[in-house]
Amino acid sequence: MSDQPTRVAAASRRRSSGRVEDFDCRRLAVARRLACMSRAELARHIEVTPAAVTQYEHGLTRPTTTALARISFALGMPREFFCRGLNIPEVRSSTAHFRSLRTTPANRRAQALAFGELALAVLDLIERYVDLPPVRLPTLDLSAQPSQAEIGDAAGRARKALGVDSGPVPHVVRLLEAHGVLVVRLPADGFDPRVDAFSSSETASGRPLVLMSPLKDDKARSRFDASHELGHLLMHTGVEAGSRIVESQAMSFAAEFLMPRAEIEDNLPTRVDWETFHALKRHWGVSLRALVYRAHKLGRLSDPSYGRANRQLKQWGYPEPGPLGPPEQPSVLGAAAELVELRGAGLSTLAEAARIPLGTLHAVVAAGRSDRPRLTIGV
Amino acid sequence: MSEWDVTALAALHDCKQELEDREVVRWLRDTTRAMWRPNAERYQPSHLFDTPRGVAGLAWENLRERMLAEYRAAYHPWRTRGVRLTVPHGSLLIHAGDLAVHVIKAPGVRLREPEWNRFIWDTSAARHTAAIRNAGMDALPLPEIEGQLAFDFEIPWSGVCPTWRELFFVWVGDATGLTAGWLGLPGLGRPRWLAVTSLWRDEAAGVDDGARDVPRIPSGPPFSERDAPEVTVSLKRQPGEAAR
Repeated sequence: MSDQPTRVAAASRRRSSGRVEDFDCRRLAVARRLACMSRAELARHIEVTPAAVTQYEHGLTRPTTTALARISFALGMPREFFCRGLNIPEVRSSTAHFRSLRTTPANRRAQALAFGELALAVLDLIERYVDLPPVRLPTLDLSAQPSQAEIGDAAGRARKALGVDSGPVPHVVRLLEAHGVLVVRLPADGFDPRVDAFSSSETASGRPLVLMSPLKDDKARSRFDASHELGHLLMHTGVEAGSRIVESQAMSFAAEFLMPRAEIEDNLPTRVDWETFHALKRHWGVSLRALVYRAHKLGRLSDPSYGRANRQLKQWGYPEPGPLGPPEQPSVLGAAAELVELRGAGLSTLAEAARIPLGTLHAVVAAGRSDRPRLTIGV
Repeated sequence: MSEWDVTALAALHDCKQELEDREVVRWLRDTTRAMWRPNAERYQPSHLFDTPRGVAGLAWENLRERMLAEYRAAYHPWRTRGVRLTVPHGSLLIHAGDLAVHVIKAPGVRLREPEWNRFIWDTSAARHTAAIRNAGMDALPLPEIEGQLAFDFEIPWSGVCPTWRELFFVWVGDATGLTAGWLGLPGLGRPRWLAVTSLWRDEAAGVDDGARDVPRIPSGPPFSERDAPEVTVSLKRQPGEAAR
């Protein structure tokens, strides 16, 4: 009986001898969610229990070399990815404001969120070489349940604090980037098209994140989406995400941010006048749908007119008439990566150092790259 | 404004007063406004090739159905006020006491007063009959006057005020949703109207309010011509660069 502890320790040593030493549990969680796989599914693939996968992801235990090889194969990531390297900051799903919370499966949302985490990590990596715009978002003091008037007022203060003059906002995505927000557009391939734009101001890296939908191939909608997410970033830190109230508040914020009541009210027609709505669309850079909604909300359009306008809009569908061009594109991540390459540190070197597959790194950078960047680059 | 027969006008004012007492004027005014506003909003001659005649037909039916719906409501007050609504041959007819009020939409989509002498009754049996009744021709035959042809004279003055109980409610509406209404006594011969009096005329509350309905053209450059914010991204200084 006296040698019992010794035998247990030996058995433990035998079990642990095959376990990998260099293992980053966060990276397993990121890779699994990127592959859109549940813990149970992964467990089946690698022939362990779901509890074991949970333990791997929580850092309670490490996989064996055999299990890691199977993980690597199942998730389509090289083994090196799971080694400790670049820290991938976490964005808790409870802090991410998804517009499509009820229509998108949880695993698809988790997949998009993992991509956002990866983008934050890549930005962290690039920031070692490049000075990026610091986070300079204003603080809006709002009550727990702000009224429409308070939200309108907050949007006005936000415009002022972000340096927006009266009139239309020139470029919403660029405005966010200029104030330190990481904006990326989800890749169209491999992601659920139902995942709409989402954002989080509570990232582990401290940099707010906005992910835009790849499917809304329309400038007006992308501008409204970005403004909606800005509303979340400024108003909903620490607020439980996903409720209709919170989404509605962000909607009201975006409407006032892009179309301040005091400035647009007299522009709006009192009847369904599409010619005027089209002119306003071109001026303010918002969709016909947003203008019609605004006109009704501000009492310019009567209920019957609003109903009739919406029936017409529904009949037109998407894209609505009078497109304003391609969506606003983010550019900071791409431009920063270009600078790094100019410096001579190629992306492949960065990928190797960060232990991120080069293809994945390219995908992330592409998600934050404008086709035609318009940046001031100081070397 | 036309010069109306003083006696007919006095009788018309009595009729108007009776309709006001029974709240029929208010009912007509409120229903006309409520009916016309959405019709004016959906009236788009330039885009949908709507015509005044087309919108008039729709408005005519809308007004009838609105009034009927209210009249048929469970707790409507009209019966206690002695008001009855019927639709002979599909036309709205309001009975208030012994008055009969027919509804007419004046031509056009403007708020101006109709050209009263352009109304004719020949196209509608109901209107023609109403005019005949006001002329008293359906009561007693005209007295024969020696040496005169039957149609060679206007309605002869009998010394007794005729019983003018047939009234026409005429309304107009403009493209901004404003309305106006008149009450008239139709007659035979010329002029077609014995007398007409105004019931209401919507006015924009003031010049400012009037202008408020006309969208103001946005000023300044559109969003696409404004300067986008600049985003500065620069390489970090490497150790030793500052010294150089």
